[in-house]
Amino acid sequence: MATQDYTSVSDEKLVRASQRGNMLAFEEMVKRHRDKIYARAFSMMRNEDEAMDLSQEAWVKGWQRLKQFHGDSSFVTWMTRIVINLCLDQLRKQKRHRTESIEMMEEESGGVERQMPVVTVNPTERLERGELRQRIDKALALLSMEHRTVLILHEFEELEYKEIAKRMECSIGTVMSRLFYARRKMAVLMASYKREELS
Amino acid sequence: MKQELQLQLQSYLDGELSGREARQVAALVEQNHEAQSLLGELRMTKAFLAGNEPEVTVPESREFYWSKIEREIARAEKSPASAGSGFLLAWRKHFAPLVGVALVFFLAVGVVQHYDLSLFDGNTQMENEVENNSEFTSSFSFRSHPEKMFVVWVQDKSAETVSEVDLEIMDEVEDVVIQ
Amino acid sequence: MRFAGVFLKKFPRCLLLFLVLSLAAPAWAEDIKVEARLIWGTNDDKSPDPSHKSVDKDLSKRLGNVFKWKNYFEVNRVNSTIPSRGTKKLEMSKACTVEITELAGPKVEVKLMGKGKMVNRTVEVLSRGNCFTIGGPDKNETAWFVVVTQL
Repeated sequence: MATQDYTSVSDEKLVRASQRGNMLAFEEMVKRHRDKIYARAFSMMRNEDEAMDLSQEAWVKGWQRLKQFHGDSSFVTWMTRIVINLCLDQLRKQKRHRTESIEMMEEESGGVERQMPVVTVNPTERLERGELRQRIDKALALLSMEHRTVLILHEFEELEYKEIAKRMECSIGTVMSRLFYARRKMAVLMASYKREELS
Repeated sequence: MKQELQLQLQSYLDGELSGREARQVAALVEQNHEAQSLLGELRMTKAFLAGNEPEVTVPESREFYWSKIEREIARAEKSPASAGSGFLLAWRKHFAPLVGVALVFFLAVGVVQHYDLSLFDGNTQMENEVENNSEFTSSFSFRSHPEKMFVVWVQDKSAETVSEVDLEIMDEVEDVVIQ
Repeated sequence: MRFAGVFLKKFPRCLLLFLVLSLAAPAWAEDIKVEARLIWGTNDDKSPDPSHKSVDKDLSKRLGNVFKWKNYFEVNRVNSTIPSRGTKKLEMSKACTVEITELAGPKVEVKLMGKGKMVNRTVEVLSRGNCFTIGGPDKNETAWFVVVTQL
């Protein structure tokens, strides 16, 4: 009820009010940006419950660290970085539980994607945006966690190789290699969806 | 094509090369057909991904989503780490006298609401009490105004589900699931 | 002047009468008819028990707008009349009972009992069109709900 008073207030003003401890202003920020923060967590975790928990944890951390936000980026960008870091921590924990296998090593270095012919015809031509997004989602789900994460951080978060390497705690070379094979696999998958549609 | 060249093509596309390196790769691409088609594929992939991130929305209501955040914030702020902070001491010093005034106010509001003197209409009447009575569970509540629903969410304090602890409300359903 | 004198003389009595009536008003509460439903929330399209019917569209939509589960199945439904200032126990399942007491307000006190032990007690204003829902997570990413409405 009371949050309605804040609907026309800018993010900047809401941030300042939140920094002074105004919880209603912060609630309005959550209301405005919750889908974006949740979507980022979901795209990385591919699990609804984990995405929900991590996105909510990000908001709690956001509130606790509000004083550290100086407006160098937009508030939503700042929040997105928090949720990304939480997701990366969670993915690292999960990775520790997975057994390193030959298959995984192959995937890391490219595996079969190296042998795949180059896709020359654009498989997304004449696709409506909704359909395109659905296919991208379907393809992203088939990527390994490492490949998907690099692709998201580079293509959607527009982070540079160096920044991705820092966040993923790996070398720039590994980032480049993962990004390359993630892109190749995406192209191949999208082409296969196009073929399915035509057949 | 060597992997090194493949990655160089990608770095060229992403603007990660220095001016000199970028010119060298551009010259190579002009002469190398294989490099041209690979660069084309990488460029196409980058283009169809741009601005087309799959859209996902929070599957819970705003109130439910926020209530969990609010509860976690309150819990974190109650932790011992923040209890003895200088801020709290300053708060006590400057605002303690206000507590008396606030108490009188809340008492007055409480009396008015208890006797239903209609200071609040039906839509804004939100006074309620929620009491958790199990040592194994915790609860939080919120109101969804659009759905005209007051919700109390009960969950276990450990990782198990409530029903595993002491509720077992869904015994019948669980039995069915096993069948 | 005479009228003013009479008014001033009677005013304290009128005020007293008004206060007594105001204070006594809540005591004129009536019995309330309530409906309690035990509902199971899941993302599965069908309930494994064919006797579980999907809840009506309106409630399903309301629950779906608040919670994340896609489908809601009714496990049990109990209708009852709660006498004014009285209490009724409604058995929702072998292990779950809700105890509803009609209070002034008009409010109800709802006690959730699991295997005879009180798990939660809530006092809430119950009016037609509004509903009181108590729920929690269950196994396999499902959830249970007890939805109480006034009929």
